Amino acid sequence: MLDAVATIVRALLYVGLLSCAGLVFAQFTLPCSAELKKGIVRVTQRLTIVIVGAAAASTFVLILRLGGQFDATTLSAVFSSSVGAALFMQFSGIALLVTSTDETAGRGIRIASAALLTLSLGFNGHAAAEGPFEGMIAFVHLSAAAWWIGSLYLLRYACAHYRIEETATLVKRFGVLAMRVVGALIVTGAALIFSLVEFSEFPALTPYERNLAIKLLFVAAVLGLASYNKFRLTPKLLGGDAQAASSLRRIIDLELIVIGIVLIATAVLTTYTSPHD
Amino acid sequence: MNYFHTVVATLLLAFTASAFAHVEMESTTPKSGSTLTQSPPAIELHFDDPAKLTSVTVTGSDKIERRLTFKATDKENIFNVTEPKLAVGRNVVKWKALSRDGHVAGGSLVFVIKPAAKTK
Repeated sequence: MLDAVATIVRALLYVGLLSCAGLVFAQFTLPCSAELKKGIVRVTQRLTIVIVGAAAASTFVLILRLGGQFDATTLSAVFSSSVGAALFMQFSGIALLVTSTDETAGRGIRIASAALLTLSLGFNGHAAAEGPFEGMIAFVHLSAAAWWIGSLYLLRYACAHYRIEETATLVKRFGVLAMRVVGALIVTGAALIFSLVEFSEFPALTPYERNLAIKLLFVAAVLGLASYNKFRLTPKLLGGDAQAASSLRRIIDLELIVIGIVLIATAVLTTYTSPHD
Repeated sequence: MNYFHTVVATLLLAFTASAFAHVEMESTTPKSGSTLTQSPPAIELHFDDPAKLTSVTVTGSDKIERRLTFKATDKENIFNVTEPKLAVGRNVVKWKALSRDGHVAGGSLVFVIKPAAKTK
């Protein structure tokens, strides 16, 4: 029961952290209107509430799973561990994001704040346990995933509110960057799998490998939808087909739902199983 | 840009911290599964990696669970459960710890205490 709650809370934390960081990354890499920029600042500030709630709940559940004693031994164990370090990074990133807007801070501060959020996930987990190099790969992987998610939110907004020419400009820029970022996402994901999983008993899969295989199925589904967007809908949109914008929005909705499933699968993977078991 | 430098410094500092893998119980003294003539004065828990032990409980034949006290040693992977006062019969000692990768690890040990021989 506690493990299930921990999984749900962790999935919520992933959604909050990656969405918040991703919107900031996307804001500074894709063409956005002044109105959209203000909207991004507003949404990221709301997402920080989700992150604070999920991080606090996640810590509370962790203490319950460690025996439920809110004594000095347990609290010290939690807050002096990588979990405590991750919390520190999350709250530092949030504090910087909440207190910085485009008007009061430069892009460097907001990007670094967002990077702290993705770093908090890369720093605390199986990859970081392997070593700092693997932790850095996880950080790049998570930052790329965050950018993708944030960019999809922006594309979705553009499809609904922008004129077709503005949407086409955004989609064109996204297409160029996505090839590199999603490429980095795939390469770092593969690197993490090969550094964490030994595959010594292949084809008899361990529970971790089975859960990983399920996650990869959903990842493949997202990549399939992204390919459909790029090779079918984007050319139509660039050709001025207004209908393509609404089709793109529907596919993006579907893509975001499947990405949500990927994040839930990741939460299951990291809560219930370990590559070392 | 001062903030930016501070954040970058924080990131670099964070990556200097060491990390370890998922923790497992390597051995105990006395060994799990042992049959003893009396409760041991202490139980030594030896993990395969540095860990943060957070909970140790014992459940005897009466099915009542009670918490045991433990102490850290100068080694990060060894802990001593002090005065476990195991009752006669089967005792299941359960432990929980936080791995350095942030995951909860746990397990159980079994110790059987034989009743004292009757004197005629």
